Amino acid sequence: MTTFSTSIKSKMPASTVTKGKALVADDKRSNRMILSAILKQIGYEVIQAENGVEAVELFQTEKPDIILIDIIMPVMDGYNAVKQIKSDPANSFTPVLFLTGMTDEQDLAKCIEVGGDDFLTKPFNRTLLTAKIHALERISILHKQVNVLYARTQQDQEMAKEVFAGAVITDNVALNAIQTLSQPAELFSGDVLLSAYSPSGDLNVMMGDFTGHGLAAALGAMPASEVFRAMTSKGYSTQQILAGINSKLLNILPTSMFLAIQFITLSKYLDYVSVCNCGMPDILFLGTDDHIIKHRAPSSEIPLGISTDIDFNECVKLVKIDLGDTILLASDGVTEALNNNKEPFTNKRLESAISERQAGKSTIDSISNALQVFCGGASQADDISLAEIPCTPEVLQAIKCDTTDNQYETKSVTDFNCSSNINRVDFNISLYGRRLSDTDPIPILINHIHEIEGLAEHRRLLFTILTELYTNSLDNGVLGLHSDIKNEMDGFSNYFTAREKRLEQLTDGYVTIAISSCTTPNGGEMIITVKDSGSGFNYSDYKCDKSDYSKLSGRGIQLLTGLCSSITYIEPGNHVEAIYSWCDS
Amino acid sequence: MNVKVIESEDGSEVTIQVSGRFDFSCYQQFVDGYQDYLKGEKRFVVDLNETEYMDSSAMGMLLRLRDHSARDGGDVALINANESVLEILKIANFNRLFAIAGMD
Repeated sequence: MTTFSTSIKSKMPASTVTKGKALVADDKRSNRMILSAILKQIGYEVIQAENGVEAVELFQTEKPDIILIDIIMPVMDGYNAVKQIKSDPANSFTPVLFLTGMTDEQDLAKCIEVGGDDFLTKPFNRTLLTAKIHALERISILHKQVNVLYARTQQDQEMAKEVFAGAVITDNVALNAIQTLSQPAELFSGDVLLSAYSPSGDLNVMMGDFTGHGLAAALGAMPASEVFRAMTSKGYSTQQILAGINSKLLNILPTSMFLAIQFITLSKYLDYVSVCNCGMPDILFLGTDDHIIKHRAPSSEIPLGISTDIDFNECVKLVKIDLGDTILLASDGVTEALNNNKEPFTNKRLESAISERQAGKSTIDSISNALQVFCGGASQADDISLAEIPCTPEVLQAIKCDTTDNQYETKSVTDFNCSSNINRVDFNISLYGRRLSDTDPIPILINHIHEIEGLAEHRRLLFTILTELYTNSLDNGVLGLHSDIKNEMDGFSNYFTAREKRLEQLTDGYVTIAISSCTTPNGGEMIITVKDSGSGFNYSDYKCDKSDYSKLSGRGIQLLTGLCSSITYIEPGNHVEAIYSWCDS
Repeated sequence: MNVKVIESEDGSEVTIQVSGRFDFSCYQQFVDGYQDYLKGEKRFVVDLNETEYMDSSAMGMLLRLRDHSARDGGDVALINANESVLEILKIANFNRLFAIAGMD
């Protein structure tokens, strides 16, 4: 490396190279002469000062590489001169050697105290002086190397920070509604917070904490966020996304690196959350007004990127929430933050900061204040990250589900033209028996639609429509579940428990989804037909009553009616035909 | 931080003692403690009796040791961990990957 070439030079014959400038400060001319002679012989260009003031001035104008200075001089003594030189902010490191006739221990100790690097008592020995100068040169070179390395690291981190902000953070959603606190221990945080909407309108939020912190830790954030966003946008489930991130990280990260995560999927109905915690502190669910922790989701698995042996179906839990609840995600840098006495902040302090939150203030503000008071400026060892997600409509993406507000022109069934076969395409998928419990047909269909018709901007709506239709057929038809269960106390969890159990025991039954699509001169239309093996259901019960959106069941059908041009149930209710139409803009 | 390595008399087991803070500053010493043994040959025991604190980079080192241990990786026991170290291991569910004394 060219930067360190000085170390090579110092080994070469003295007279052939310049080592730089040496400043000699002594009020006696004879001393300056002798010192200059020695220094020139070693390879220095020498400048001379007769007192402390001159020494300081020459230091500032000439920027010497080494300083040899006497203590007792007129105008300003050596102590004061060195104090000024060493406190000069422009001085990165210039070694100072005191040369003195004084032998009192206190006086010599003071040389080091004021900032000198070494001292030599007069009358000095030429060999000893040369040796000391060499030692100081070594320290000086080390200083330069450290400075170069430090500057390079800083530069790398700055660059990585920019790339990170561009590639990982920019695409986050719901930024106005989710309040966050991020205090990296270094320039660059090993913690990462990601948020994205699924095509159905659910919100996925992941707080991740990589091994260690700084640049190395943030390396893994890129692939993790890529998988998170790609799979979320294709509509994969919480479990599938986590498994995807896990296997990606396992493939590319070294053994000693892993990612602890808190993951939540907030349903668009704001009624339940799928949570998963792998190696992070508890995810906290807070009530609306009383600041009480209603529920905790503790870590139930090993962090991601270590092993494929994780059953994500086991570790993703469903938690029922109420409108206005808050979900708090936090990295372990919060509870492990140390004060000046090396005591940790602890869970207890975190929770009392939550309960002592003042009205009108956010939970994060309250925790942030408590942390600040507690740490009292102690240096921070780990990244601190917090995110507060309110379970309110503000975090959701506005979905247009009112027919009067539908931006896509609707047409009546009779206008439908697909039978003409001019440019029609049909495809379908049928799942039987056990396949119904382990294959999710929706991402497959969405990919097909995307490849055949494009329709990127319709992806989210089509996803919602297909999911609602499929879930209705599977739950109400094949599994025979009545969504009325959801209206009861604990309805949601009972419903999902029953659903899981029946899915597990499923050995027969089927669902077929058929799509027939064609383009028209100014847009296109798609018939989605879903049939199941069930006995049908009383669809007329759900048809009306649009006003009661708060009802816990039947919202799927309301939503479908809003999104499609038409929804037709065919007797006995195990066969439905939905028409979705679009206009080219 | 200090790392001590002791081999059992029959040579099948290697005990690594870590004292003080078990963090990135131990990296070289810790790796030196096991990499002279052939991969997949030894059973390892990490004695945490003198370990005051452990951070995630220490957990990374344990995972590397696990890769290096006998029985296709996974023959590592962690013993004598204090309460705060146990808590950290518990949150990470490391009992799934290591035999940890004091945890089921």
